[in-house]
Formats: sequence, C-alpha cells, structure tokens
Amino acid sequence: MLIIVLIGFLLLAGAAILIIYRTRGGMGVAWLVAVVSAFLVWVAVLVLRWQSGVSLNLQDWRPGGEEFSTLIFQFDSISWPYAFALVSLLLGVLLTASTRIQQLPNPWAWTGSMGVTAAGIATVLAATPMAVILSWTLVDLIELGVLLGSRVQRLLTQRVVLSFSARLAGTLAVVGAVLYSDYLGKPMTLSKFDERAGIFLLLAAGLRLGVLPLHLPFVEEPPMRRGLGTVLRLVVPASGLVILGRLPPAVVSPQLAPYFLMFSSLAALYGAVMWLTAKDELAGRPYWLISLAGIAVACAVRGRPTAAPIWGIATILAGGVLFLYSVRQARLFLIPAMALLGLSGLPFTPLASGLKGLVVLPFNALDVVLIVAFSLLLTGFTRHAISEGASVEGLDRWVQVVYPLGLFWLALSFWLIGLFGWQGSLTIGNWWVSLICITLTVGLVFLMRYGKLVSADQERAEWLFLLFKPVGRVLAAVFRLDWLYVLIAFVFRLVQGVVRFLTVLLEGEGGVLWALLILTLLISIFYSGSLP
Amino acid sequence: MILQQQLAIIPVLILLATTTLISVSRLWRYTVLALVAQYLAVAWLVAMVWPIGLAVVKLVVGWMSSAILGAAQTDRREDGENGRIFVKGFLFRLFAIGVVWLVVFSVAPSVSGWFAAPLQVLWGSSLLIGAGILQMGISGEPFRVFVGLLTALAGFEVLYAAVESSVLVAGLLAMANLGLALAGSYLMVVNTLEEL
Amino acid sequence: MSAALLWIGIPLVAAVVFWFLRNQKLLCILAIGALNLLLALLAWKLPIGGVINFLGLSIELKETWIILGRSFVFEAGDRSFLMLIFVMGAFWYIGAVVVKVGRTFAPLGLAVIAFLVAALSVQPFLYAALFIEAAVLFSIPMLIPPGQVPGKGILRYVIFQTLAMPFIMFAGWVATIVEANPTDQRLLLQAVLFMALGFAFWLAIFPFYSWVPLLTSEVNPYVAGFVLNFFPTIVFLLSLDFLNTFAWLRDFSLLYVALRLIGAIMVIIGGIWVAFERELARMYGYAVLMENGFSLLALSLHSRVGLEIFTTLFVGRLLSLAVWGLALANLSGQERVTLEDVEGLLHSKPVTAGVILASCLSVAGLPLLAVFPMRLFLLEQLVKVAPVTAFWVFIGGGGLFVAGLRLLNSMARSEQDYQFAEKVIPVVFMVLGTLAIIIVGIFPGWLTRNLVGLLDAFERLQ
Repeated sequence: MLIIVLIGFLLLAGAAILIIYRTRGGMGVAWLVAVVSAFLVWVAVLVLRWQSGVSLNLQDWRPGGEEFSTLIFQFDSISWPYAFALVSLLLGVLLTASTRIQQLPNPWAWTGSMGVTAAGIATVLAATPMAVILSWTLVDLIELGVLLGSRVQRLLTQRVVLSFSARLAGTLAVVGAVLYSDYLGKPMTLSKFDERAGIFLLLAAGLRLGVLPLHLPFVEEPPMRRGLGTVLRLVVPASGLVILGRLPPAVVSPQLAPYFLMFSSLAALYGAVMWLTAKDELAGRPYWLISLAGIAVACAVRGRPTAAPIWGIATILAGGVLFLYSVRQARLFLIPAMALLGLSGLPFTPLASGLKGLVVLPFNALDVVLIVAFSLLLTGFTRHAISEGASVEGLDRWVQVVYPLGLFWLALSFWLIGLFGWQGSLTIGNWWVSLICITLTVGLVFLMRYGKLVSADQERAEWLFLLFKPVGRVLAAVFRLDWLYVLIAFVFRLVQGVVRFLTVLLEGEGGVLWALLILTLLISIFYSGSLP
Repeated sequence: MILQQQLAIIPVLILLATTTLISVSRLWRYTVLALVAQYLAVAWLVAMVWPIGLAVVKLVVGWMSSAILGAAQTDRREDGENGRIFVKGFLFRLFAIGVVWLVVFSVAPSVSGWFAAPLQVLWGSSLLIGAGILQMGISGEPFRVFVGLLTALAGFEVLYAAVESSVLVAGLLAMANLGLALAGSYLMVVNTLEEL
Repeated sequence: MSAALLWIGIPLVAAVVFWFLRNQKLLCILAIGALNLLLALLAWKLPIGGVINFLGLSIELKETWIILGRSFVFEAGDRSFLMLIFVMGAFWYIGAVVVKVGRTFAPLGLAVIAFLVAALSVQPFLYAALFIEAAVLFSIPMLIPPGQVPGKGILRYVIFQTLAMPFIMFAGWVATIVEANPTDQRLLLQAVLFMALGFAFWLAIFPFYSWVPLLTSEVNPYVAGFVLNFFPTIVFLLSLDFLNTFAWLRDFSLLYVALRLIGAIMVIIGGIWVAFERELARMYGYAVLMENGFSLLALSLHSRVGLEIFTTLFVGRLLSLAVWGLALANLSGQERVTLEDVEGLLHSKPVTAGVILASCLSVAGLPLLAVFPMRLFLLEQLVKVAPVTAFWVFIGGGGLFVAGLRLLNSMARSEQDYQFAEKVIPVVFMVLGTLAIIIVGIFPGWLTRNLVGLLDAFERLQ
C-alpha cells in the first residue's frame, strides 16, 4: 500500500503542477509544489530503509501458479538504494531547474520527470519476473513517447525505434527466462531461479543497457532538456542495472564467461575512452552509461553480483551531479569533487564495495582493462567537472542558494547510500585497486593540465581531439552496429524475396490448386506415418 | 439389373463431356449448357441410390442455379478473343482435365473402400469434384469460379446421396446451391450496381 | 417459448425488418447494437429451461425447439457463450457508428450472427455446416457492397468456406457409424480426417489461409474484421462442442499432437509472413491467422488450464482486432495502405497511428496490453509439454513484433510538428477501445474468472 501511495503521490503531484501552472499562472508556486513533493518522497524513501517487509503484493493478477500470478514490488537491500537514488535524482533535477526557471520555464518537463521517476521506482522495486516485465515495458513506452514527442530528426527516428527494439528484446529475454525455468521444472522468482535461466536475465540486462551486444543507438542524442533528459537517460538504465544485483554468483557457465567478460570489458573501455574525449558531459552521457554499465555487467559475470548495485548507483548519482552542473563557479567545484571522491573507491567511500567486483583475483588481462577503464572514467569526470560552463552572474540570490543545494543533495545521497545503503556497504574494499586507479587518474590529469593539453581554453585541446576523433569515429561506427543493421537489412530483403515468391504462388492464379497439392502431400505424409 | 448397370455408364460419359466442355470452353453459353447437362447426369446418378422424386430435386435446383448464373451474364466478349472456342490455354486446360480423368479413374476403386456406393457413382462424383476444383483453381472470374464450386459441390452431393438419404439434408443442400448461384450472380454484377 | 426462438428467431426477423430500413444506416446500426446488448442481457439473466415471470405471465423458456425432426438446443450452460457472442456483436456494431460501412452491413451482420448461433445449437451437428454456409453467403454483400469490384479474396473466401461444408457433413455421417463401432481404427481415422479438413477450411489453416490477407486488403477492414472475428469464434466453440460430445474424438491420441503442430505452423508462418509484409490491411489478416494458431495451441494442451486459456483468449483477440480494424477503416477505408503511405502518420494523425500501433503490438503480445497475460500463460504451459514447439512459437510470434516496429519506424519518420487532423468522434471510439485493451492487459485476473463460465457448457471436457 505504501508503495502505491509513494508512486501515486508522485504522479498526482505531477498533475498538480500542471493544474497550478495553468490555473494560477504561478511558475514559482508550481515549482515549489514540485520540490516539496519530491522532498517528501525522498524523506519517505529514506525512512523506509529501516522498515522491513514493505511490499506491494497483487495476488492472482492472472491465472497460473502462485509464483507467476503475483506481482510483487518491494523494498529490499537491492531495490532500496536504487529507489533512493532515483528520488534523489528527481530532487536534484527540480532544485537545479531553478537556474532555468526564468529563461525556459517548462512545468511539462517537471511533470514528465516525476512521471518517469515514478515508473522508474516501480521498475527497481519489481521483485517478480512478471513485475519486471510490466514495469520495464512501462518505462520503455514512456521513454519512447518522450523521445518521439521531441523534434527528432528523420535519422534519429530510426535510432529511437532501434533503441526501443533493443529494450523490448531485453524484456522478451526475461520472458524467455521465465519459459526456460518452466521447461527446467523450476518456476522462477527473482529470489530463486535456476542458474541456467540466469543467463537470460543477464542478456536482458545487457540488452537494456546496450552492453550485450554493445550498441549505441544514440551517439547524437535527440534534443532534450537537461533536466528531463538526465532523468530519462538515467532512470531507464537503472531498471536494467537493478537486475544485475539479483543474479546468482554463477550466472554464466565457465565456458561462456570469458566471452561475456570480454564484451563487457570492451564496452567499459570503449565507453570510458569516448567519455574522456567527449565535447562535454552531455555529449558524453551515453558513453558514461555504457562504461559503467559494462563494469556492472562484468561484476555480475565474475561472480560478484553484490558489487554491481553500487556501480549503478554511481551511474545515477555521480553522473547526475555532473549532468546537472550547468552553472559553474570555482567554489561550487566542491560538490563535483565530493562526488568524485565518492567515485574514487577509497576505503569507506561509496564505491569501495564496487571495487570488489572490478578486480577479482587471480589477476588477469581483463582486470587491467577494467582498471584502465575506471581510471579513464575518473579522468573524464575530472575533465568535464573543471571545464567551463554558464556563469552564476545574472542569477537571483535564491537560485544561487537552491541550485548548489540540488547538486549537493545528489552528492550527499551518494554518500548516504555508501554509508548505510545495505549491510556491508561501508567497507574498506579493494583499497590497492583504488590507489592504482587514483594514481593513473592523477597522472592523466596532470598530463592534460600541465602539458597544456586541456584547459579552459578549448583551442589548446585541439590536438587531443584531432588525435582521438578519427579513432573514435571508427570505433563509434563499429559499436553503433550500423554494419550489423546493414547486414540484417540485406538478409531481410533476401528472405522477403522468398516470402514474396511464395505469397504470389499461393495467392496468385492457381493458388487453390497449390494449396490442395500441399494438402495432398501432407495427407500422404500423415498416412505413411500413421498406418501400420 | 445388368442393363441398369450398363446404362449407368451413360451419366458418367455425359459428365466426361460436360466437365471437359466447362474446363476448355471460354464461351459462357456453352458453359451454362454444359452445366445443365451436367445436372441431368447428376440427377441420374443420384437416382441410382435415391428415390426418383428426390433425385429430380437435384435436377431442378441445378437447372435453376444454371439459369441464375446465365441470367447474370452480360454480352461482353470473353478473353477478348471474339468468342472463339480455341483460345490460348485451350490445350493446357484439355491436358489438365485429362489428368483429372486419369486420377479419378485410378483413385475411384480405392475410394470404394470408404463409401459403399456403385462404382459409377464414385466415378461420377470424383469427376465432378476434380473438375470443379480444377475450374476453381485456374480461373479468377466469378462466373467460372462459381461454376466450378457448383460442380464440386454437385460431386459431393452425389457421394453424400450414396451414404445418406435425408430429405431435410437434400432440401438444405438445394438451398445452399441456390444461395451459391445467387451469390455468384451478385458478384458477377456487383460492380455495376448502385447501393442496395 | 423456446430459447432458440429468442436468440435465433428474433435476430433473423429483426434482420429482415432492418433490411427494409437500411437506408437509415445510423438508426439500423444503433438499433441492432442495442438489440445485441439486449440479447446478451437476456442470456445473462433468463433461466433457460426454467420459467420466466413477466408482467404477471409465466413463460417457460424451453431448451429445445424442434423443426422438421431436427432440434435447436440451448442448455443452461450455454448462456455464457450466448452472452459472449452477442456482446461481441454489440461491440462491433457500436464501433460501426464511426466507420463507413455499407448500408447492408447492419441487417446482414445480424443475420450472420443469427445463423452462426443456429449453427452452434443445431442437432445433429452436420446441419451446422449448412448454417455456417448460409452465414457465409449472407456475408458476401456485406463484404463486397455494390459498386466494388470483387477480387480474389472474396472468391477464395467463398471457395474455402464452401468446401468445408461437405467435409463436415461427411464427418457427421461417419461419426454416427463410429459411435456404433468406436474400436474400428479405420473409421475413426476417416471421421477425424473429414472433421479436420472441414475445420481446416473454416479456420484458414495452412495451406488454406491465402484468402485471409487477400480479403483484408480488398474490403473494408472493419467489415473483414467482423467476419474474421465471428466465424473463427463460432468454429472454435463448435470444436469444443465436438470434443465434448464425442468421447472417441476426445480420446484420439494423435488429435492433440496434430492440433499443436497445426497451431505452431500457423503462428510461425503467420509470423514470418507478417514480418515481411508492407501493406497494413494484410498485416491485419496475418495477425488473425496467428491468433487462430494460438487458440489451437491452447486446445492442444488437453487440460482444464488449456481450456481456460482458450476461452480467455477470445476477449483479448476481440478487443485488439476490433480496435485495429476500426483504426484501419478510419485511416483508409478500402484503399490499400502500405508502410510508405503511412510515413509520418504519427505526426499528422497521432491518435489513429497510436491506436494502430497499440492494437498491433497487443496482438503481438506486448506486456501491459490485452493479449499478453494469457499468451504468456499459454507459452508457459506449452513449454512443459512440447518445449521445442514452444520455442518456435515464441520465435514465430516475434514476427508480429517486427511488423509493429517497422510500422512504428515508418509512422514516426517526420520532421513536422504534431497536428491533429482527425475527427473527434472516431478518435473518442478509438481511444476508448485502446483504453479497454490497456485495462484488460493490466487487470487480466477478473476477466479470466468471469469467462471460465463459458466452459460450463462443456462438462465432459473438464
């Protein structure tokens, strides 16, 4: 019941914003209502950390065995951190929207953000396969609607549809997991399922995140506002990331594990490189997602699924700090720095527990790849955090207070999850891995900064881009899977020709005779098989 | 009895001729005439297993169906060939009906294991079914399709008559035949009609 | 008074009366829709075989009506499927208010429904073939109104539906012999073969399916949908009746294997064909074939659960196909519309485009929409019995997803701003229909609980 109240409250608040804006004409009041609502939900979710048994059970949702016929949404050690991260993100988005209120007020974006967050909370709380399937579909349809609702260029329409198709394929992979479990005679719930069916869930998460196979439908993102765009881009992957935390340690057989690991590590590295060299944090956002998702998937494949959630949280919260960091000022840098510290993986920082999945002994080449990827991620974070942005001049005093508060809230939430997100979240972790990564990061930043490679002046960074751009273009072309789509289109046209031929045969002149001929053949086969 | 059996071959011969004519002829008048003669043969075959009064129902209904289809025809030239008999496809259709004969006469004895009917009835019904299906299969015009449909249905009715002699079924089948003929005539002229 | 008079006689008489009033198209549609609702309500409330007290009069509603030695039988357990049929009828007539159907649709549609109900109730069952044939013939002017050139679709439709009739009649004849000699395997095989062929023609089972996409592309999609929804529903109910009546058929070992194989073939072939199809109306036709296939798969489970799935699938199918047909008819009438023609439709006619997509994806089995819950349940049961078949059915079913995504890709491709160039009333109908699809998809449980009453008429199947 509480869960319905939470989600329903967000939706009602979203509707109320629009009504208030339309009837009272008060932008400020509408914004205030949005912020207060989000804050209340944030507090409620925070308090639920210490409540047990908070769940929504919809029994007999449809006929079938009890395991399948019940929809369950619940707060547990895996879902709570994600739910908390999402409401924190929402609060951060609404608070930082104060910078845009005077120039581009858009209560529709706030309502949209609340709606998407509500749907996102439903997806992360889903605790049964049916609940996962339904909530994933809901979020995907919302994303589709928002993307198509914006002015999307013709080429990007295809990308939007491809992205939706990939997500749908992920949902169907969950269906496949359910069916495979039935075949094995072990009906599936998310808390207990046959390990052989787990690979379908891994595939589902991978498809959803764009990691397995690696694909980037959006290298150029459809034009979206910073706030709503951030929510949308982070909520949808959260629904895939949360599944990783529920997988069993041996989700992939030893024969297949190296391949999955290779793909996910490659995704992590590629994403990290592109993130580092992206024009700005928004342009690099898809790569940020891919890279961290790749690391999370790698954790799950390596038998460390409990390490996967924090990578997902980092994606949302640390990423959220940077993506909403539109107005820049020297003293405000403390907030991204706080997020960066949380990302460092040093003992007792939020990401410390995640490093247990980054490197798994015995040490091998893929560990090196992942360490490099993580270092590049940190370097890129630093680079984007210190680059120039809009100025605080011209902003009202209250905005100059509220805006940093929004950013701070995100960073604080990141640390709170690290403190008490789940049992064992506050940990020393793999401190030596963290040290290696920090050392590499510092070295790269030093090179960039003091080698005059990167500075506030973009012209000086030109040679770096000249070096990486052609490489990036080739890699982007490979990982965007355009070549695969061309191949699929070719095969499609081939098969279409065969189908057309058969259609003309059966529907053209003489089709009746062809049908009867086929019937005669079938009957003769049947008779030769059945008669003694 | 022997004479009756020898005479029973006559409807089969009539059917051979009528099904051939229906298959190869492109002139609708000849087709309708063939249909008329066909129903005569059908009634004859049915009379071998049913009372003559019931068999006449088949004849009357058949002729009415033929009349309905004929009445819906227009004066348009068929196939653009100025009403000639030997138009393109003639040999193919002749060959096709020949294949149907072969199949019928070779399959009929094995069909007798399924239906306890005189051999001539089996020949006749199989011929009608085969020719009807062929006609439906190779033509796209409503007239020819419905002629084929009525022919095939007649074949089934002959076979059915050999196993079941219900008056009600006969009546309902008669209505079905007439309904088909009406439907056929409707489809033949529908594009020229104003809204009903 | 007998039940047959109420549910067969009255619709037939009404059809004749409304034929003479057909110029008042809207009036006819509304009146007949209301009549369907009334008949459904009566089926729900009236006690068949019992006594009705009405205005001080006691009227016995007899179960049997005997004409010319044959009987039309309605038992108490048949009320559920009478309700289903007439609610379906009301649904289609209500939708017809906003579609440009011909003047003949209203009265002839009612006559078709009456004949189909007669087919379900007549004993012995061989007469059902004749009533269905009558329904087919009466549907022709409805499908091809005056002024339209008949295409291959209507001719094939008549051919295949008519060819079913003699096979069912022969099946009826052999069935009586088998009842006397149930151990004679050869007779049994004959009876099953005749029945199978008859049903194959009726249900457009491969390879007799070609008329379905041809018909949907040549005639008004809404009217085609009416025929494609009612005829298979009645045929499926007839099949349940046969299984209920004949123990030798129920116990025929190969039957369920054959049903599974045929159902799988229909889903796979329908899925492959629809994935490569470019014309919207033909996609609709292939979707119908796939739905028929899934219904056969449900029957093949040979269990109570399978029957529940089978009956519940009717509603998802009805909603999705009706709304799809409505949207297609509003979009194009009888003109052929391809993927190229609907490019950018989401921007110019967002509601119509959205409804077409929603209903297409609903039939495909997209979660949150009407068909998904029972479709998944069906696959879950099938995978336990025939995992390989379930796998291929799952893959084949994906074909309709591919078609839906291609539609989406085409409809969304535009750089124009969103407009609303649609009429309000059809939009309202389409939106309500889509909402119904969503509600059934989100709350399937109550639907199942209410529909299992359909199985009361088939005691021996349980």
